[in-house]
Amino acid sequence: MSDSRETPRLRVTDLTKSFGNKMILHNVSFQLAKGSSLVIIGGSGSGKSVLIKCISGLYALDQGQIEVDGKVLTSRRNRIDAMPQRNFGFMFQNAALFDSLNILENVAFGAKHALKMNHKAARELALEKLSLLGISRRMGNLYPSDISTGLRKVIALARTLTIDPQIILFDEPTTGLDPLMSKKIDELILQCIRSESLTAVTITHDMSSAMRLGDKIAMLYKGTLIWSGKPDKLFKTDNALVKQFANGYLDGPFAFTNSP
Amino acid sequence: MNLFGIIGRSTINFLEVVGRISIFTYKAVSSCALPPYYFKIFLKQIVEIGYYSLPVVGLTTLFSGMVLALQSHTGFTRFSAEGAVATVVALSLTRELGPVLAGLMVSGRIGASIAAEISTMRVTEQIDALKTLATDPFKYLIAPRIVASILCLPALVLVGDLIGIYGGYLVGVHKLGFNSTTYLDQTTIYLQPIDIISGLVKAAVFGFLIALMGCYHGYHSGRGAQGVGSATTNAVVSSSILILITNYILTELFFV
Repeated sequence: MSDSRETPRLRVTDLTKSFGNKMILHNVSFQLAKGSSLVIIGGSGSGKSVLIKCISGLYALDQGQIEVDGKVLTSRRNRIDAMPQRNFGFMFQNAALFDSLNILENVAFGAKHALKMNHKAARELALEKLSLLGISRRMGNLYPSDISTGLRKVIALARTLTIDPQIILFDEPTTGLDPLMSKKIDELILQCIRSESLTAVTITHDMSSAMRLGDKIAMLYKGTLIWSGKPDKLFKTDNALVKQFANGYLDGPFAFTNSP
Repeated sequence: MNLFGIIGRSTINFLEVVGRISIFTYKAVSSCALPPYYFKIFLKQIVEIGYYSLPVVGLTTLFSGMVLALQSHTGFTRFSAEGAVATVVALSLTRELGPVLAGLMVSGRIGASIAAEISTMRVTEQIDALKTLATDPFKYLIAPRIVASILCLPALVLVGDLIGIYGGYLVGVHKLGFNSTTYLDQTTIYLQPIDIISGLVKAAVFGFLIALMGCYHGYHSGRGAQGVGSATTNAVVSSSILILITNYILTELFFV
């Protein structure tokens, strides 16, 4: 999935993951060049979240390999070692801000703990990232419970950026947001990806968001990547599953997980 | 399923839980010993566990000391041994009632709170977020709580012992008519360092168990509000039972 002949920034090879007897991901492989953005779409239960949690090291792999800039990260135990990463930033679906810390402390957290910056430097970096995303300094004293869902996602993005990752993984960044806020979040994500030359993997089932964010779009169905291509090819594909999902048709071959 | 099947499955489940707790304990203890150390969080836990538990522990031991004085006086009067009331109050509190009651009260207050906090963090993916920000949840969340709990419980028990003995003194002197100096003499004369030290050692062990069970059930909680509720209940129940069992074992080790 990379156009470049140079070493891809991220290469995922034959990633397989099961929980108990249930296979969630089956031989998922793709690669991404530096600065490119891949959006993975798929229905609920297709394995999207598990895929990026495996890539980030939150879940151990049953099988497969993950490389960043040609360096294999997966250890013999099929897990990406520890959390030192800094290779990956992760923006969670519900933002996952720390309730006990205010916004400024949340954003400075990565700088303090991952980059080992002192309190003052971490605070300044946090303020810089907040300002980059249009958040005023005075909001830094508020707590996650004081702000809206959309704003929480912006703060989560700022927190992710402070650790200066090479690759950012976005877990449904626009889920639960109104269309305007979704667009705003997408624009902020694009702004960050472009200004910092970041490589991004986004999972979503929001088609408008997918079209905005992806240089490439891939579709995951029952744990297998069944299609990938440029966004403009998505609605023209002959693949019946992809066509049905992208257009939101109820009739077709798509098997719903947990259907009513 | 036949009887053997049920027994086999239960045994496997039990061993699985024991194994999981053992691995968790090993990771938790090694996280306490190895850097990085989070002093700010540790101090916050000292205040939360030590300072805020003081009223509960103080009230519990105060009334226990008072009741103990009344009850032992009633019993001892039957064989003219009223003079032993002060000694019995002091020994009972320092050896058994102080650490056990403080442990059970703190288990209800702190064990539940630790489990609820950590399980909420688990459910809302805050623990995963810690990992993605290069922070080990065992060192950041669990180690400070365990160390703070180990240090705070003996301090709480020491204060609780004093308050409980004072409760006994109040009842003994003002209600039962003991002479103040005699009562204090009777309190200290038979009290040996081992009585106090054993209580403090017990308290430290109970502190470890309370924090460990709170962290374990919080960390392995299920999804949703029900998961948080179960984690809280299990933390309190398991730490309370472990306190009572460990209390017997430690008593045997110290005094038999």
